[in-house]
Amino acid sequence: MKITKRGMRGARRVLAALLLAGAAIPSVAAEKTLSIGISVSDLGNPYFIQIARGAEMQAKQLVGDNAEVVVVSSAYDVKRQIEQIESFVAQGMDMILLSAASYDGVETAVLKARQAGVKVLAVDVKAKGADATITTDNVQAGMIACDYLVKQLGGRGNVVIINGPKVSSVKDRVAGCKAVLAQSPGIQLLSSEIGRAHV
Amino acid sequence: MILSLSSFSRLRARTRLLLAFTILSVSAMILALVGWQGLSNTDRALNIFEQQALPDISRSLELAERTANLAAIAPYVTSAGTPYMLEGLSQTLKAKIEKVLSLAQRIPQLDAAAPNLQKLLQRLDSTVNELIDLTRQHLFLREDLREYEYRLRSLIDGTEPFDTVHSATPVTRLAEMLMTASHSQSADSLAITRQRFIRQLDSFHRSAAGGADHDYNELYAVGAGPENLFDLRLKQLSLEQRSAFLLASTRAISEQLSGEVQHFVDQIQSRISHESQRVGAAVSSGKTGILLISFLCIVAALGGVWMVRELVMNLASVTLVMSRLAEGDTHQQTPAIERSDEIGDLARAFQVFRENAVQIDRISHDLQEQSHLLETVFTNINDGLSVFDREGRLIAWNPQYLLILELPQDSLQKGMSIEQVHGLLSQEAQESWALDGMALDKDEVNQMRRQQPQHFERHFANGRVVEFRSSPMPDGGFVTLYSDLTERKTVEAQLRQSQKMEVLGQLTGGVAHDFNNLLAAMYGNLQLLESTLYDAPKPLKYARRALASAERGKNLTQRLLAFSRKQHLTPEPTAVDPLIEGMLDLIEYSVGSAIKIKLDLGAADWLVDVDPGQLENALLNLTINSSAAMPEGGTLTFCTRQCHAIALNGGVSDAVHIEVSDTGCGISEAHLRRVFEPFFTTKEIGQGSGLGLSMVYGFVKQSEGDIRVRSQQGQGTTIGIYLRRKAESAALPRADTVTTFNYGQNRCVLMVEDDHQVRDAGQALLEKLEYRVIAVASVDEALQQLNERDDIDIVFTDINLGTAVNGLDLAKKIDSQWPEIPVLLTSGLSVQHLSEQYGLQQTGIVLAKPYKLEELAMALDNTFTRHTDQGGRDL
Repeated sequence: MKITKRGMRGARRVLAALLLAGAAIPSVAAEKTLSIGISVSDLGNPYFIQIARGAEMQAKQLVGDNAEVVVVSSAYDVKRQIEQIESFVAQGMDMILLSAASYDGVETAVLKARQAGVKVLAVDVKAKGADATITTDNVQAGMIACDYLVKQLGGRGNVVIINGPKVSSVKDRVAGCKAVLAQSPGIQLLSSEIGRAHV
Repeated sequence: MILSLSSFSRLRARTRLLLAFTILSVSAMILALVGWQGLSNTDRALNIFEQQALPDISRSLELAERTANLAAIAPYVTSAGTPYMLEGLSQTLKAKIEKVLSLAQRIPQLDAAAPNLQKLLQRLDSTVNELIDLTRQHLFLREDLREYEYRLRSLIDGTEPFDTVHSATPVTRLAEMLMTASHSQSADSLAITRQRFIRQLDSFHRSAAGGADHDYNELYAVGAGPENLFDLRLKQLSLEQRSAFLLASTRAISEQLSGEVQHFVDQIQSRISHESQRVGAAVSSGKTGILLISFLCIVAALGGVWMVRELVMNLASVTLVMSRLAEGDTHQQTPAIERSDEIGDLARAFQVFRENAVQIDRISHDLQEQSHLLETVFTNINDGLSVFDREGRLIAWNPQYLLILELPQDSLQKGMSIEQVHGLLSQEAQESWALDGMALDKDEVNQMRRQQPQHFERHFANGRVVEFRSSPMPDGGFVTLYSDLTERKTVEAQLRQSQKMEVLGQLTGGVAHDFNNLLAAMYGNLQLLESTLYDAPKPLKYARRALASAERGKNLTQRLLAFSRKQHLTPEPTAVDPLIEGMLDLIEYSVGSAIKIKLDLGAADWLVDVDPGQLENALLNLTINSSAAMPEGGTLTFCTRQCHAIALNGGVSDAVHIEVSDTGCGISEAHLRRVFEPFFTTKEIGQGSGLGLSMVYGFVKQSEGDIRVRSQQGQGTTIGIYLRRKAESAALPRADTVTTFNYGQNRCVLMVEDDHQVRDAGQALLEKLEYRVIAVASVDEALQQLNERDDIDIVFTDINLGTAVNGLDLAKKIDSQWPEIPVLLTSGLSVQHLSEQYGLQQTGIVLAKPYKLEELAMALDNTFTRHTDQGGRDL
């Protein structure tokens, strides 16, 4: 069971933040083209598709058909993402939207991209070295979700956290959840390691 | 070790106990050893199990689990949705394989048991790694395809607002064709779709307006460019195929692994079961050993218990017998005496003790008896007894000592000196007399008593004589026996008297016998002379005077013979009381009127075997004596009594007691002893023969009776006669005396007589009786005559012929050789004498000498008659 699920609304909020960020991009000109490289974690996940779509639509709104948006999926693979970032830089992308496969795993590539003048925005999860980061309050999200669970259980019961990839959003949510669970003495946390690729 | 029961029972109890305890302890030790060994084996087996088998088992189990796990990861790999999961799986797998490998290395025997394990694990590792790699590639391809799909979706979405009325624009159609192709499940259909897409893209490109370049480029890029969708999908499909193969491969490897591990586990199992069987066998053999040894232990213990029980029982029985012995019971049989062990020793030792005890008991009993006997003898002997020690002090004495020495009771004390004792004796008794009547010095005697046996007498005032017989004792001192000799002295005096009377009797008997023969000759001749002198009165007168004198001489000799108990008696059963009554007038006539006669007759009908005429004679003699003792008159009493069972001449029998007592002057004690002596008289010489009482004495003694005299001077004399009662009480009538006789009628008589005077007188008498007479002096002559002649009708022989061959011998010879000739015997001796001296058995046919003519005639006559009646004689 996933504790949190990214809904469309969450994606739209991210998009709004993206727009604000976009507004701050100084190099964007009205007549000029805008090329954005988007590297998400999983194109099988509609959340990321929505991010990509939102960015693409916003870019088209800004520059019309001159907006070039390339969407790739890292499949949470750091190496693949680094290649994608390097590919974006080589293609001369203006901006990279990055759902980092690892907080610090892609730092070198990010720094290289920024040196090449490409703006790097961390989306959904934090990425070390990024120009800007847009996320939800994942700690709060975890707390809310688990507070709900504790109430449903009536303050007593055993709980298992099915964990996810080692990205900041997941870590924060798990941390928030654990903080709530720790305040409920009737709740026993049996494990929080399931889903961490250990079979 | 096997011992036969008999040899076992011969063993000492100690040895047996030791043997039992040795067996017991050795068995216990073996038991302990076997137990120890068994426990050690078990412990070792357990240790081996713990150190080897258990880890092996746990490792093998772990190995099996982990290898199974390894295989199970593979499907996860293919289903991993994200690379990070894949990465995790890869790491997990690597760790697991590492772990399995390290596990395998820790099992040394694994190489032998599962040689393929490592290889298989490596193959699994590489296979799974390849699978992971493939999956990653597949994932990336999927993401690439998704990127294409995103672009195609964007293409479709981009065309939608412009062509909502129509069913589908070519771009959409182409995009959708590509979308479908991205999910195509086979290479064939993909190839077909691809060809269709290329054709349609071409036709679209040709038909499409210029505005559709972007779309076309996009479609082209996606569907026909480098690394286009078809290529990717094709690659993906081939990856899926490879992936399926790899999955199958992992399963196969996994199964092989399982097989390997299973093989290993089986080996461990078989080893464990083998080990368990070995331990089980060891344990069961140990158990069997323990059971056997326990059995041996129990047997040894039971044997020991049995032995101890038997020992205790035997001990108890010996103890019981000992206790019984202690209580004095010596008749118990000692048990277990035949055993050869300690009990047997004990029993035998006890037996010896018991025998000793019994012997001691017996000895002590004997001693006690002996001591009792000695004490009894000491206190009960008639003699007094005293013991003086070497200092002459009195040690012991018996009651008779006091009585005999007439010492006052309680006058003696132990330790008194002999002089003190002597002082207690009466004056007379202080003088000692030797046996020959010599007086002895008392101090000398007392000194001599300590050294050698002494024998002397002492006389007491009342006439008692006490004999002292003293003997020295080995350790000094002397013991003395005191015998009261008074009674013995009296008996000795009586014996002397009786011996004197015997000698007198023999003397007078011998004289009387010879004198009788002389008288017989004189008397016969005087009778013959008288018969020839009828015509001459004067010589006849002289002859008759001589005949009267001879008659008196004959009477005298008869009285002498009576005293010497050699008179001729004819006893017959006689009642005494009528006899005395019958002679009462004669008695009264004899004593005169001054003396009163008193009769006190109590013999009643008791009979005595006595010659009645001689009894009358004796009583008459006593009467005359009594009357002589009572010249002034007095009372003469005749008293008879029945006496039951009195002592008489050495026997016990009933007797008639006749007592004749007078109230005369009595007889002095000195005279009293001699009253029965012949010719003893107190009368003046010439007034009595002194043969009266002697004759009575001889008669009574010859009649097996007894006579006693009792007298007190001045008070009278009592003479008692005891005659044995005859058993049968019927009195035979007195036979009438035959007074007629037959003459010889010229029959021939062979007369045998050694005395020629008697022979001549006898011959003359026989001839007077008209017998023919052949007179001989000896048996030889008689036999000669008997052989030569055959006209002898009778033999008349004296018994005592002065030779060794007597008349009886002759009679016997005649009886055997000439039984037709009767024999008449004659003798001057009494019948009693004859039977004693010559063994004569018959009394009736002996003619007493001297005989009268009538007596001879009757005797001859009777002899003939008897011989005729009986046809012979019985001697």
